[in-house]
Amino acid sequence: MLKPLYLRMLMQCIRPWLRAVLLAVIGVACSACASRMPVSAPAENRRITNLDEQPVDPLGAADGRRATVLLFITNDCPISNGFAPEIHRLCDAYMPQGIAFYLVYVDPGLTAVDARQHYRDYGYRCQALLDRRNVLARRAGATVTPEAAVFLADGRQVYRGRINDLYVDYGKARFAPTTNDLRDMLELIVRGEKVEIRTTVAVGCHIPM
Amino acid sequence: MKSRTECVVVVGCLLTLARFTQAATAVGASPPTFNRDIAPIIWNNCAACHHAGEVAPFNLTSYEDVRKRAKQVAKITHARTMPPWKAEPGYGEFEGERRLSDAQIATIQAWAEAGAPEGNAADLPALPKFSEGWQLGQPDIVVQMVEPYTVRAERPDIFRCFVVPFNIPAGKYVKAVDYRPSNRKITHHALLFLDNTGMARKLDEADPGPGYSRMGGVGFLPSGGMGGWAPGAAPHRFPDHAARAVGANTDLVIQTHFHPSGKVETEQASVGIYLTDEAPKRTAATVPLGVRSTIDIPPGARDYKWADSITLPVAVEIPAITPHAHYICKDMQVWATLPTGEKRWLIWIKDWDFDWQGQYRYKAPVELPAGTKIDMVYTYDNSADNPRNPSSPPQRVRRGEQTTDEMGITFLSVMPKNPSDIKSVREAIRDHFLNLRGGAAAEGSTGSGLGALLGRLRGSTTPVPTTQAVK
Repeated sequence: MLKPLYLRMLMQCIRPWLRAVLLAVIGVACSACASRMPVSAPAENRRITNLDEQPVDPLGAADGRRATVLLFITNDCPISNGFAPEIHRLCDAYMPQGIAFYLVYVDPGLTAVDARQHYRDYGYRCQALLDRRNVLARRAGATVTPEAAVFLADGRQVYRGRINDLYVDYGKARFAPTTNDLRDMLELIVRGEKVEIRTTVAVGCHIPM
Repeated sequence: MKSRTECVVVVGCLLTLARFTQAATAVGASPPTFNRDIAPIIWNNCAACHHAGEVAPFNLTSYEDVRKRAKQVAKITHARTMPPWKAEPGYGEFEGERRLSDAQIATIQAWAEAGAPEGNAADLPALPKFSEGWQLGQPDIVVQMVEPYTVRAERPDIFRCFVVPFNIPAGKYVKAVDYRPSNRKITHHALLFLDNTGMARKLDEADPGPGYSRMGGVGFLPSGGMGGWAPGAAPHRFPDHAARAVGANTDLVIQTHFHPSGKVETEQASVGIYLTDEAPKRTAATVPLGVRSTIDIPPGARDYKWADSITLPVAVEIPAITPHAHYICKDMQVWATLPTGEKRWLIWIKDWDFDWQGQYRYKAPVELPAGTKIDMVYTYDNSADNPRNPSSPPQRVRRGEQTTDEMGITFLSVMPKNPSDIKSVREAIRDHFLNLRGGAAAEGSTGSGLGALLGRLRGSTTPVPTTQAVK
C-alpha cells in the first residue's frame, strides 16, 4: 500500500511543479554535460588520413565495393597485435571479393612515423588510417582495440564487435576461437544473402582518450 | 495512465538530479589527482614493467601515458588482472607481492571517474630509477643461448627448452642467478634447470631447430633448479649459507614460455651467474607433493580434486613454494597442520592461471615443527564452460606433460632447522613416493621422469634431486 500512497502524494505535491522541476533538471544536466565536453578542435585535426597524412574518406568511396570493414587498432595493444595474422587472413580472403579493409589507428598520440613503422613491422597489406580524433570509432560505436565495424555500400552499418571470440576477457584467451563473428558476417555479404544488424562484445584495450 | 507516466518522469528526473548533485559533491570533495594520488601507485606497482625496454607493451611513466589509458587501468586493476599476482592475501606472506590494496583500487576508480585530472605538478613524486642491465651488477659468468630461436607470429604459446653449456670453476658455488631475455615482448617467463646426465643434449639433438619442445617439465628429471625469470621478478638468490653446488659436466637448461606477438620474432637470452667461495652450510631439499599423480578427469567434470599430503619428520623452514598445474586447474590450496592441530596456510590460489605460474618466496621462512602434516588440494574444471580448456569439446584428461594433459604438483623448498636432519627429510620424501607407489593401480600411467626419480631414490645414496620450478 505504500507505493500507491507514495505515488499519490508525489502526484499531488509535485505535479503542479512538474514543469519547473523538469526545467531545473534539464538545466543542471546540460550544465554538467557542457563542462565535460572537449573544446572543439580545429577542423584539420578532425581529418581522417592515410599513413602519409593525406585525407581519406573510407566510407565515401563509390568504387563498386560490397562493404567496408573498419578494424580499430592501436600499435601497443597486445591483443590487437595478436590478431594481426587473422587480419591478414581476412584481408586475403575477402578483399578480392569486393570487401574493402581499413586498419584504423585510434591513438591520439600516435605519430604517422610510428604508425607506418608498426604497419611495416606487422606486414599489413590493407589500407590504414589515422583517426586521432576517434571520428570513425564514435561513428561505428567502437570502444576497444581490436574491434571491427562493417558498413554496406549504401552506408548502413551492419556489424560492430569482435573479430572472433578468442579472448573472453583481458588476459584470458581460449586456445582457439569457437565463433568467427566478423568472418561469418562477411560470408553473408559476399554470398549476397540477407544481412541482419549484429553487435558483439569485443575484448581488448580501451580506445585511448 | 498519463499521471503515472508523468510521475515516473519526475522520479527519473529527481534521480538524475541526485546523480549530478552527488557528482558535484564528489568534485567539491577534491577527487584524486594523478600527481598526488595515482602516480605513487603506478610508479611503485606498474612502472617496473611498464617502462621503456621492459616487458610490458606500453609505458606508464608519465601523466599522459596513464591518462589516455585511464579506463583501461581502472578496469584491469579493479578486476585484479594487473598487477599480476595470483596468491590470495592472508594465506601466506610473500616477498615482492604485486597486489594493490582495496583503497588503492578505489582511488584509481575514482580518479578515472573524475576524468583523470592531473593535479598540482608539485605533488608529483619522482619516477623510480629502474636498473638497466644486470640487476646485481656484472655477473661472474655470463652465458647465452647458443643460437637465436625464431618465434612464430601466432598463438598458441610455445614452450621450448634450450641447452646452454657452462662451467662453474672448482671451489665456487652459485649464490644468485639473473636472466635477461633479448626480446621481452615475447618472453613470458623462463625456468632454469641443471642437467648432469646429458639427457637435455639428446633431446635437443632429436628436435630440429634450436632447443626442444617440452611444456610441463624438461623431459627428464633435472639435477637441480636455478631459479627463473618473470616480468617484475628480482634475480633468484639462494638462501644464506645455501649456495648451489654445481658439478662438472653440467648443462644449464632454460625452459622458456613464449607469447607470440602477432609477428615473427627472435630470442637469444643471456644468464648471469654470481659466484661465492662459501661452501653451502645448509642444504635445501625440494618436496614435490603430488608428483605421483593419478589424475584422471572425465570430460565435463567441473570440480575434480587431486590431493596429496606428507608429514615432516623433523623441524624445517620453508623459504618458498611453487604450485604447478596446467590449464584446467582452477583452485590450489596448500596448508600445514601442526601437531597442536593449528592450521597454517602456505598458499591459496583461487584463479590459477598457467600463464602466471612461478615461485612464491615467503617474507620470512615458514617454520614448522616435526610432525607437521602438509596437505595440498587442487581443483580442476574440465567443462566446456572453462575458456582455458585446451580441448573443445572437453576430453578425458590424465597426467602428462602435454598441453592437453594435467599436473598437480606443489614444490616445497625445505631446509631442516638442524642441517644434519637433511637425511631424514630425504628419507621422508622417498617413503612418500614408495607408499604412494603401492596405492592405486592407475598410477602405472605416470611419466618416465617419475620412474627415473624412483629409481634414483631406491638405489642411490646421492641427494634427492631437486626439481624447482621457479619464477
